[in-house]
Amino acid sequence: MEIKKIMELVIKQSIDRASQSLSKIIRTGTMIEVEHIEVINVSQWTEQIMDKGEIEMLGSMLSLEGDFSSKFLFLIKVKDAFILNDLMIRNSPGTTTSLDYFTKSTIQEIGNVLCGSIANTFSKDFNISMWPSVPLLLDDYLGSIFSNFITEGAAADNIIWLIETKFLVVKVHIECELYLILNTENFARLQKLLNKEGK
Amino acid sequence: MNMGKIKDVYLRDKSIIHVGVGDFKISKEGYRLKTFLGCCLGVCLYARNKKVGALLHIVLPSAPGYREVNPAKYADTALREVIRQFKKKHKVKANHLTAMIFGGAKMIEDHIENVGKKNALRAKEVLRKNKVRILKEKVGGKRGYKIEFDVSTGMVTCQVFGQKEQKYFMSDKGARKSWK
Amino acid sequence: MKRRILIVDDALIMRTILKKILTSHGYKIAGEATNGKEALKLYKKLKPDVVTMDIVMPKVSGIQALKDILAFDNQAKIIVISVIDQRKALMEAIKAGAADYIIKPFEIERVISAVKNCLGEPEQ
Repeated sequence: MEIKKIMELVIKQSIDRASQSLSKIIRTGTMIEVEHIEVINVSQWTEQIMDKGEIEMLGSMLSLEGDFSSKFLFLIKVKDAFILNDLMIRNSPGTTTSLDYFTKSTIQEIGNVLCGSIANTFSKDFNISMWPSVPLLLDDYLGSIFSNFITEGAAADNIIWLIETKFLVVKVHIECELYLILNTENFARLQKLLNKEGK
Repeated sequence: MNMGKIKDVYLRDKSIIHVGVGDFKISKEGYRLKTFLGCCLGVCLYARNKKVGALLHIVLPSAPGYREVNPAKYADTALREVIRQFKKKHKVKANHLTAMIFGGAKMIEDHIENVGKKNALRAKEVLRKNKVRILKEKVGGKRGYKIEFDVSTGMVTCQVFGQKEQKYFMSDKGARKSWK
Repeated sequence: MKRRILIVDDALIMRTILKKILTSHGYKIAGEATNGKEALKLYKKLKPDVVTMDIVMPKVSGIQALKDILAFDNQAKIIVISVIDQRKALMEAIKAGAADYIIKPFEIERVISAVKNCLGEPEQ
């Protein structure tokens, strides 16, 4: 079976698992939509992002390390982060009104849990070791967060694998997004691992 | 919100040209070049007499030894290429250009190597070697930069996240803050 | 006398959630640490009955802190609470001497059951 198809299947499974984890921590259903799993040109893709680059966003950024590495980003608008914080600590939505250290910690940890779910699925399906790093919280322009994310994950690459997923938290109508990037070296490593497994 | 698609295309400001990561854009008057920077470096180059400007979004300081597919990503190769294009297409020599440098923030505390600083050093080296006058340098900090370069007026608007907007004017005599 | 628990996690939200769960079940929080280095320091100072320990933390990881604490006190009861649900990590933690291993996101009952087991308390 083609590596790309296997990759897509595993990614969808891992996102599904991440969604279940998110639903569990906030005790609310989430709908997920894997928007893209594709190879992109870094400059062209980020050029499009810059059009909405001025929006203030919170990003929980992690590295996935182990048998192969990847970069993960969980992104949410500030006002939606307040609601997510309320759900996580079982307050009524609308209770949190300021972006304090506590709310930032919530977003950081949600990123950690989602990234962990993805790592666990990859580990199980590819029979590898993969674990998330300490999550970093960024509160900045969307454009700057992406600039950093891409640079961190794939500075030496012009073409990368990008997985873009949208989560919708049903009860409170908030959206958040999840990105995963794989540079070409790591994609090749994954292909080697799969060939070894005889898939 | 979908990052990849621009739903209201007809509402987009067509006078704005966005510059992606590891890219540069050169434009004549009538346009504003815009980008957002994290640890990357932004360089504005301007030929005032011809009203032609460039904005570079630089990722790394030096190109590797082998032939690189995207020279726009590296401070040295990107700047040399832009200077070459100014000379070839717009008949502007390097020593008639002025430059401003922004960005290179250290948004992630635990970074061992400060790539922003390295990018800035390499960019300045290349610019000085080509006798391009550097009018303004605003680098470092821990937050992102929004850069907008109005090629018609030579005005560069720089806003660090959470701070007030600053405007700098690419004059022949030296950068000065705009009045407003 | 209330049993005392040291909570070790770099995330404030996790420490808050665990604190809430444990205090509502009659346990006292001896202290909180945000990394493995602090965990060892506080363990020596506070001598808690049980420690809850995250794995991925800045400065010193949970696994290293676990080993360091057990080197100091081989009777220490340490429950690992982590997002990593992989056999290699689990084996590493158990080999290092963890009393239990809980995956995030967790159920309240799982945490309480693990603490009770460590303390030899009967489960209700």
